[in-house]
Amino acid sequence: MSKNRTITASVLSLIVFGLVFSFVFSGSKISYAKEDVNFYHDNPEWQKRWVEFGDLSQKDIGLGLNPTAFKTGVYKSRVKTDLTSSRAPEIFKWWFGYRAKQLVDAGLVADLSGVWEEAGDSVSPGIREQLTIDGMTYAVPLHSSYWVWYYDVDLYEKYDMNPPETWTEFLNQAEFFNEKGINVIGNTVGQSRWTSFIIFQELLLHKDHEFYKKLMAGEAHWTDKEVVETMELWKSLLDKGYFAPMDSTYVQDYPRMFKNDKLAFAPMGTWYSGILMDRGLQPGKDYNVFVLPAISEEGKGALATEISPLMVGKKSDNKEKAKKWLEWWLSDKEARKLDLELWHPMPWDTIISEEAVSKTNPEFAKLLKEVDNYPNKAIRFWEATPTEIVNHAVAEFERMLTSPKRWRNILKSIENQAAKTWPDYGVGYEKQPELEN
Amino acid sequence: MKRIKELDAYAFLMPALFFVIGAELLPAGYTIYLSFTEWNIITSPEWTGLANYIQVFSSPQVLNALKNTVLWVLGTLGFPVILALVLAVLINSVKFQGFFKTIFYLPVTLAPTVAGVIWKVVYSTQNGAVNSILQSMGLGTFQLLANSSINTFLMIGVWAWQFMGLNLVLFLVGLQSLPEEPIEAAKVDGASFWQIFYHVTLPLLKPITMLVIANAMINTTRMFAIPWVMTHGGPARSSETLAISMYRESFLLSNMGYGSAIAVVIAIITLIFAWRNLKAFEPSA
Repeated sequence: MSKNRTITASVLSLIVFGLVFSFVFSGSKISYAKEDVNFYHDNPEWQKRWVEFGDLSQKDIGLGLNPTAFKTGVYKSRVKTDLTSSRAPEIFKWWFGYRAKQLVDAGLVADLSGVWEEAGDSVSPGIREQLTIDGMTYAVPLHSSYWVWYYDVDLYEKYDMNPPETWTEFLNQAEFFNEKGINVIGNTVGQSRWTSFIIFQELLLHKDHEFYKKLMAGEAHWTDKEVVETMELWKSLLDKGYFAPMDSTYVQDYPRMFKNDKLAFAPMGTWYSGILMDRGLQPGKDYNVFVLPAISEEGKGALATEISPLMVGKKSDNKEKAKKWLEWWLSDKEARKLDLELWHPMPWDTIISEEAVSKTNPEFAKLLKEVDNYPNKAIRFWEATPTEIVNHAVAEFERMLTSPKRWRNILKSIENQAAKTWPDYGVGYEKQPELEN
Repeated sequence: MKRIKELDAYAFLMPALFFVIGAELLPAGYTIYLSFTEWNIITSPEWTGLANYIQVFSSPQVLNALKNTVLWVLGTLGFPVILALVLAVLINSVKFQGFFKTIFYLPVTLAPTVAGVIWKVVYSTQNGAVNSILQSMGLGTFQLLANSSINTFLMIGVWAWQFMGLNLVLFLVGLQSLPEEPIEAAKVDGASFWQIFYHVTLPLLKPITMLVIANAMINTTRMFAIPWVMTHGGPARSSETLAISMYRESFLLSNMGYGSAIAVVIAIITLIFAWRNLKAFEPSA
């Protein structure tokens, strides 16, 4: 009897042991159809679009896409963990600039030069250079966006106004909307910590684009006069009560506020148009865009840009399939057309004609034509400077949004972080003890 | 025969041992090891000694998170425990106990994340119930969760709303299982309601009280769900708890070594609370 019990218990133990260790060591590899290319991204709201692209590629080249959406919070850690193993995603969305450099330096992403040689003619000039680090082209574009200010078309029609062309006009319109009880600027703490850099980026870039680039490169200090003046300007806008309630969010609340004529402006990348359309707003009818007018002479012709890259895990099983899919993504006419209609109003390719853009959104077509009038383009803050500084700064900028009178402490804190970070990137950077007046 | 019996016992222990070793001790040991390293996930961990711990106790953000965690612990002892005890005493002496128990217990059935989402909407400036009431009274709109002076207290209120019912039921069970003799004797001696409560009921309730306090302290030391859902620890990291700091450093910023050091600190605090409370349960000599 005892012997039987011992055997039963031992068998049970082995089963439990097997279950626990097979779970622990198998990881949680996502299963997908073998013929599909697996794809990770961090935008659950865009999942249905990726499914549509997968259906189209399946029809065109017999290669489907298996998209998996992760919440942004866990996305970066998940991708980094998987990239170091055989579970590496075949294609994944990432960020360019400093955020991509970390993965490239660690040798975790595939060289996509071959894809560019096959299909690079379809991409607008200048983009490949921004997706190249130390001679290796590590990505193809998911989208290439410009940073603009969305505005409520109904409000402008109601009050018979035109988008501002000078900084003074911008301030006058802001004051006008504020007096009418309308939230002037949609830039809030909400649920997304990253959005807190937007106003700082827009004000500094349109005030002095050369200084912005120097600051991002570690050639200027966070305590310099130009930054001090930018923070004072930002504080004055906050003190006047121009900002929407700080708990409102750009995904749920701003679209509703635009629809109800409760919000005048929201600064965001041109990709934001896709989110507004998802919420039932129509470009040209409900919203349009303008580039923030220059605040000073040194800010003329400035425009922030952002490229969202698609990359391939070097250790993934199906690299060749992934590259084939990316060639299709870059050069297939139907794919480009679907992208324009469904998603990105600002094409980055040479396939879509200006007429096609005019049909989907005349205002974006106008912006596309005028992009050459902004020769002083700069990478947006999120990718322009080392991640250690960005992560610290966005938390400090959140503090600015809720406690603007503490702006001096905020600058000193970011300056400390910059002094700690830049030497790791081989940049000599001595901390400035005091703020410049 | 004795040897077979021993083997028998060990064999039956094995399933639990595998779980404890595989799912608890090994990960805990690895976390402790990582806490002495710098690791960004994509490169190998580098030994840095006590650097992470020095950073934990010198970082204003983590010290603020520690302060918030202490506030959570004190807040949950203050409201859901004391209030639950008072309500349990009141409900114990009225009819329709089942009705009151159900009403107070209902929020316990929600997941903390769901409770957080509900109350986030209630506190919102965008047609939230609290602001709608304040507006109808002509008091204007208040950005409650974006106000770093009060947001932690508002969230402790949510926790109190959700878990007071559980404590209340536990206290009611305790009250109903008390021996009647000491209370009757106190009544015969002419003791007042408060004298009986303070000198007789409360000491007899000590085991249940310790259980409720232990639960409250251990759960709130690891508090994550409600502040994460409602404020993400913001604005400007003002409402972060230690658990959020750990998550932020480990999974948002990929500082696994530093995040592990915070995890070890949380574990030590929790173990101290648990040990302290287990000691209280030990029969006195």
